[in-house]
Amino acid sequence: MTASASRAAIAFDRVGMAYPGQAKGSALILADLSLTIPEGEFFVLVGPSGSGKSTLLKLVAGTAFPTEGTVTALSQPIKGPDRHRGMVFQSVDGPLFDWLTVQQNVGFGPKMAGAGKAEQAAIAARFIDMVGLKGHEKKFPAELSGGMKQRVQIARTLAADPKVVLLDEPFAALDALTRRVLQREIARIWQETGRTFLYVTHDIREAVLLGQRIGVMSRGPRANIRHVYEIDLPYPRDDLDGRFAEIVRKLEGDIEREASGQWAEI
Amino acid sequence: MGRNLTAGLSLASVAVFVLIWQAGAMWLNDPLFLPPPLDVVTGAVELWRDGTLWSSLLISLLRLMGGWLLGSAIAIPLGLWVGTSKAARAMVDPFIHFFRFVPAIALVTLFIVWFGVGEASKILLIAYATMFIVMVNTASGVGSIPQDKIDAALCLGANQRQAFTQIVVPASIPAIYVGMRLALASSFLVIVAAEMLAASSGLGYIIWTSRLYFRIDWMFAAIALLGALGFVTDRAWKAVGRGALRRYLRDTTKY
Repeated sequence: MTASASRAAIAFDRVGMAYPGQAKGSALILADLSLTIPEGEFFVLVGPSGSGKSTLLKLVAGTAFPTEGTVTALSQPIKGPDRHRGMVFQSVDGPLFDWLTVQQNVGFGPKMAGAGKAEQAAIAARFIDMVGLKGHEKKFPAELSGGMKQRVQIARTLAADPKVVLLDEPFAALDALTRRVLQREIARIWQETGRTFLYVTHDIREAVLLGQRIGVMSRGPRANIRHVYEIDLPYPRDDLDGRFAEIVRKLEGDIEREASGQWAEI
Repeated sequence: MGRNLTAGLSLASVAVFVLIWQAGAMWLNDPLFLPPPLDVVTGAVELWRDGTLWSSLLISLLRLMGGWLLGSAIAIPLGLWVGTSKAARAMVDPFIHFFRFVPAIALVTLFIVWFGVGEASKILLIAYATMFIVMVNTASGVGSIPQDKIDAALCLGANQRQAFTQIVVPASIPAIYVGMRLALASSFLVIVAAEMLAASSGLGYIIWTSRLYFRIDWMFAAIALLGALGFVTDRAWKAVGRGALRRYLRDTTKY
């Protein structure tokens, strides 16, 4: 990781994105967006709903393509989804494979990569252990709580050995207590794996808890990243700490000012 | 409710029904209008002894299973194809939504003309009746797979073919299963019509020919057996759902 720390894991270069089926130039969701995320970074995107945060993740995942500009991963243009960029979805039930056990879900990536049964099981065991689901290997998703399902998603994504992990508000659908626990764990998991994490949320406190850098998106249409904040706090972070509160307050102030024009319309 | 209690309740309600039937038949005292249950049992035993009932039951069951499985075997791949490909859907849709409303019963004579009075016409007729239900269910099952599930597989390194075989097919099994269960019921509708028109065996044939001998008790026996056959095949299909297909179905087999 250290040798390649300066390489760009993801680079957006003057990206514009229109709703599918609409004429070029009209009603862009994203416009003229440029951002470089170095390898190994935990980057958090915050912004109001409808600002195109999820669209940005889809562009990296390869499930959507920009109308203007380019998105590259390790200097390679993104042609479509592949195992190098894993995705943890907000939906708790949708993304899991209901007919497969926890172990088989987590082993899906290795299986696709051609690993044998024993190797699949060994890789799955490692990541199931990492997310704290040891003992639940033989259970089906329907037998798990919402928080456990998101743990399965995280383990499954990591088991495919991606270079970049995309997380689309992964804990937004969970209860507050479970969310707090998983927020702490995701920071630990990022440190353990050393991968690039690109995390989307609308929760500023969560962003400050997790991100090395935080990009603030303006409200769409023609959404863009207006400010990028460096969060110089050591991990694990403590949200009761004085400096933590100070940073959150500053960010909230900036975002409110940024959005005040739009808020007035509501 | 406990298992024993529900079974007891079911049994009790059937017993009450038979008692009311017996009382009604005694009160009407017209076995040609409504034969009492005991007469029906005697008639059934009579038919059973000479082998008619047993062979009719078997032949009807074979036709049903043959047509149902053949229809499903055609409909499932077609439904998966139509559900995944917009082009396929555009091509197949007009036919599906036209023939879906042409009941198999309307085609009985035509099928006899085309495929003869043998087994082929009956099995094909049941296959026809089965196909549309299974196909439409399968296609709508494919359509209701969350996009996240397919995207997740692609982001885990699956190619398009693997996303189809590993995700689309297993995720559609609940819809296919329910479609086949519904189709099973409608294939009973068709078998009787087909056996009435052109057959020398089968439960439908007994129901139809009993009228020639004024044997309403035979008719009742065949009707009761038809219902029992449906009950048993439906239970058997449910057992398949709870057994071999369990990991795919979970919530689908509750009723």
